[in-house]
Amino acid sequence: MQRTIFRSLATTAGVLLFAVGAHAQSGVQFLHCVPTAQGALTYQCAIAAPCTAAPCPASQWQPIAGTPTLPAGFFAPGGTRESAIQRTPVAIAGATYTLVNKDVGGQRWAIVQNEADGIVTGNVFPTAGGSGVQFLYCADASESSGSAVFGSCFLAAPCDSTGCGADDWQSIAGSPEVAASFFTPAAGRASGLQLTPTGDEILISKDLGAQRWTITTLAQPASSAFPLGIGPVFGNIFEAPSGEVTVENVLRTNAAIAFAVYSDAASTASALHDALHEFVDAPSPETHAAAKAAWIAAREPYQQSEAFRFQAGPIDAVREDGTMGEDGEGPEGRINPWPLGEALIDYVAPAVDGNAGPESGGSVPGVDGNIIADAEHFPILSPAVLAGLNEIGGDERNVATGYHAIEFLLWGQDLNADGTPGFGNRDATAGERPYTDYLPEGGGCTNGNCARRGQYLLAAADLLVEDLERVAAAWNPDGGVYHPAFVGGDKIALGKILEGMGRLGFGELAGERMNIALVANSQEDEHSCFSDNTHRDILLDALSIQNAYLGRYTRIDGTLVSGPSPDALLRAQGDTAVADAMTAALELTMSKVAVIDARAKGGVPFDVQVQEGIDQPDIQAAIRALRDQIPPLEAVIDALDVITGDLCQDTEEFECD
Amino acid sequence: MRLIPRTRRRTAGVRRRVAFLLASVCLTSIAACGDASSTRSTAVVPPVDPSERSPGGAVTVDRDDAKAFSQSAPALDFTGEANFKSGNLLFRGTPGGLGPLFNTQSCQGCHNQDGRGSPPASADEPMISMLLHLGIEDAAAPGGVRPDPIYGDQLQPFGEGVPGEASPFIVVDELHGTYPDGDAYVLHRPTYVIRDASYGAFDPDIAWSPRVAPGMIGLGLLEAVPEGDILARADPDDTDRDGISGRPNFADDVLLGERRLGRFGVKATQPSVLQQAAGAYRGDVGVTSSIYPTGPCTELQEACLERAARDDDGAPELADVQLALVEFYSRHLAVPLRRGWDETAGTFMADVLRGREVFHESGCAGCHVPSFRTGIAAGSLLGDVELFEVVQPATPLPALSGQTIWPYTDLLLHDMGGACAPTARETADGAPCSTGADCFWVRRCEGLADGLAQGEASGTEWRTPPLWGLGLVQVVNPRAGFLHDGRARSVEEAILWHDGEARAARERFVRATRADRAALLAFLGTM
Repeated sequence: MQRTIFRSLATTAGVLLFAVGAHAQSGVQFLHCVPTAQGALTYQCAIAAPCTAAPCPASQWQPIAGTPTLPAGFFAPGGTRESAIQRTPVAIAGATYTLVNKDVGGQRWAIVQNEADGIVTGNVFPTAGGSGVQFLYCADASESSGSAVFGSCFLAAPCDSTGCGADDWQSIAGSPEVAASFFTPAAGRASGLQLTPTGDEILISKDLGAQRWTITTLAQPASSAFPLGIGPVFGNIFEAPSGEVTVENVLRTNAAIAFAVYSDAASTASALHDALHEFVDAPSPETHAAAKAAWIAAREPYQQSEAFRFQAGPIDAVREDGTMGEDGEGPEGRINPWPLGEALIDYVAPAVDGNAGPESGGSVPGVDGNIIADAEHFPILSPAVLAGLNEIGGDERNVATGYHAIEFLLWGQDLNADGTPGFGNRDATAGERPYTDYLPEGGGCTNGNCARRGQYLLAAADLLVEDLERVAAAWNPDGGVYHPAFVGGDKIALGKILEGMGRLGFGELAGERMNIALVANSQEDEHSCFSDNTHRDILLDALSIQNAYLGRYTRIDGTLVSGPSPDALLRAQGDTAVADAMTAALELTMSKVAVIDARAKGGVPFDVQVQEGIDQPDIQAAIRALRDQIPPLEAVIDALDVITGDLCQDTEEFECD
Repeated sequence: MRLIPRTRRRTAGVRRRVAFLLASVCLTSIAACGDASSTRSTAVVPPVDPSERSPGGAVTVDRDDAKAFSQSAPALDFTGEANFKSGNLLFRGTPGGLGPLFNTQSCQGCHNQDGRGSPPASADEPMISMLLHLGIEDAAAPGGVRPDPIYGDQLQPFGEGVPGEASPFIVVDELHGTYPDGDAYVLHRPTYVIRDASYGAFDPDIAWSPRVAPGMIGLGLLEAVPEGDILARADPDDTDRDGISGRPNFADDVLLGERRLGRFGVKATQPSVLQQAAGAYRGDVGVTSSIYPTGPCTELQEACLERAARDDDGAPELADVQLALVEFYSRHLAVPLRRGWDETAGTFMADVLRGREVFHESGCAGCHVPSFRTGIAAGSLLGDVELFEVVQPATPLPALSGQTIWPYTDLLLHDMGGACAPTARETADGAPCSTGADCFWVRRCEGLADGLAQGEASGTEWRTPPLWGLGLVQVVNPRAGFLHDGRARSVEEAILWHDGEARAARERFVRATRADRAALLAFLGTM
């Protein structure tokens, strides 16, 4: 709803404000809107580009045709930390201001509303994705040798849904000092300031260190150092990719996407965890179905994170204690490993691909039968116990944790049309584990060990949530252990983005996850083989590659995180043909994986599609398209002059050793 | 399918016979050649070459953890990496067409994390990452050895839908010895016993050779060493009278239809990584390919043949593209960077340097030849992997070509001494018997001998194994042992088992000072 309204605003505003695509060099626009009536959310608006020199005449403001409307609730508390509001703790020159920092239709709106007269001022820039918003209020401004010194400054996190309160504000120690240039006009469209048409406020949108400051200060008597004046300051601060297409801003966008996508993965895994609890506490067809739905939902963001693999980033290298370690020390191997060692975990049909032998419990030293059945060796099934069991015996095949362990415990084996496991004719159904596998023992429990099966399920979910939260935390622009190294990593980090795209697309997705299942006709090599959700895995992996290149990600709540991208960087330096080729290759891939997705939704799951017959060409076409992304990607790598390959050898930004 | 371990719980566990040896030299030596004098070899210690630190040249990775043997050559491009990863998945997974008879269900099942396998920890544990190669000496047969008429040339303890062939197990004797300086050591001497033969009695003259799965690193580099450079070091008649012969093995290359130098396998019986892999698929996993199109059943194993026929559609179970991917993977597994390096000094640390001197002075480098340079590494004989198929012509593999490598092997056969008694029939108590379920087949050998020729290799000859990765073998697989059958629990024990041509070198080690022995082990530990 909100976005629809602002789309209409965009239309009315015309090119100046909103028709700034991710490809263009573009910058901040300042906004000044006056309500059409007391308390109305319909406005008369004007916009202005940054002012380049004092005195910033009001003639720089251009009225917007029509009367845009803001949605109800736009100024209400709530929302996420990345998109929220706060109120100034005290009245400033007689008015309390609502400070807003929200993503609207791909743009970041950092605005303030004067609660007394309803006037909205602030700025809008085309690169959303800022995160870790904090709100700022500084008072007692004074001038000191060309700097502004504030007697007191306060920071607040966004209001939660219970409302805003003055006690949200925490005092900043000392007397913060800001260079005068911050408050004076200067050339440049990517950031800057503007005086409101009334001349009462200075609107500022500038990068200070790694942060975007979007603040307002009341214009007070001017001085030579402050030609527009300086007064109390309020507004917000956040980690934000600015609109300027630089390597650093491309990295900031990518990092913002990483934080968003892993945060989404963690929150959906947490929702999965809750649904599993409800299922295990009260097994029924309904709670079972809800748990399965939660698993499917949790896969959507996680698979879109996979372009962040293969670059020695947090997913592959963050340690248990949250510090960055070497490639391979990260939790990926227990978050999304496959093929699962299902026979090591729980009962399986007498024969199944990959059942017998060392991966089956019976021949893993220290496991009698399978882990769920072996209460003697594993009396407690906790997250730590499961973590210790993954790859037991140092054997990569003994996969016992992660999404696919939960998947197996919810769906069970996906048997063939004739009910046999292994290499045979498959059918359109997924695994058909009965919910009764979780009923109380003696109370309808099927296949034995129901209580322990439930313990395993919940422990696996606990571990998954913990691991994902740790990965997300490492990317947090607000203190994440990996964020500073990455956004400061210049071309090495840029190389990581491209390397992740290439390695996920060809080696992992086209190779391991599709081609092996195809050439070996092996269901065991299907990524989500129990739930038959592999078509989503494939499409979302491909999408994550495209997202990395285009610098965008649509969050599970529908908000868009976007900003300067590798694509924009290429275009900014004139490599349009290279960028066009890459864009086209990615679009072709998306069209091919969409066929697999559509066919699966139409009743022909991936495991049936890879069987010999008419659907194999669809799979082959997607594999070819993924392979054909590589030459354009190599051209991108050349054009951007970045280093891929052994990323640890040429930089000290990333602690590889 | 179910793993059918033919192992039954035995009331008696591993029986240990303890032999106390009075002499400081622990082994009964039947040295075919070699000078057992303990005088120092005249070998010159070469100066440290900085490239020694990167044993695989550009195919070296800085890893020293459990995944140290599982890394790809760093120089692979996206396509190379895709092939490597796909090969890795196939290497790990259970292939379609497994069995009917097999030793394990995947490559990884033996090559634990791409490293060495291990002998079972007890007689009750099935033999998974090692196997028994079978043969019968027969002067009329090619190579002087023929397979067992029922069991073929390899014992497969497991079956899918059919019984496994038999249950082999190990009885360990402890051999106690003492260094001249008084330090004691204990070696484990294995005796291999077979029971529960499911398909009838073995040929009375049956012999077998135990082999634990070797590590996978650097195979593509070894394959790329020019044949002439290896043959140049052969000295079959010991014309230089250094006590070390060095004989090449030769084997038929199935695809080329010609005889080539053998490089792989404990007796260098396979000319290429490709053929070695195809052989392992067929022999160890029971999976056919275009190179070895017939399965593991012999003509006398009817149940096995019937089971195999049920799923047979005439095509090899493993497509060429799959085999080529596994070959690519196996050729590109990188070698770990040497440890024990002093960055500031630009050379090895002091104790390692001393160990390096001991290594050369003791004559170890006579067989464990430190360095070679690879030529142009040819692409797969099957062709280049092109997504769903292989296409000719194959392109050479740039990552493996022109590398200075430090494998510490000459890839030649050497007589390592020892001898085997004829296979006996005994009960669990060691009483002679001739038939029945409790009548086991027992093969006793002294020293390292297996008493079973293979190709040009005699029953006392073994190919010098490469030493790279040695110090990480038990990091990758803590249960792994050393030597062809994993009997040595440590590198030190492995040295002490050396005999035959290596006896003189071993004697120098035994008589070295405690500090020098430790230094040598430190040096080897950096491999």
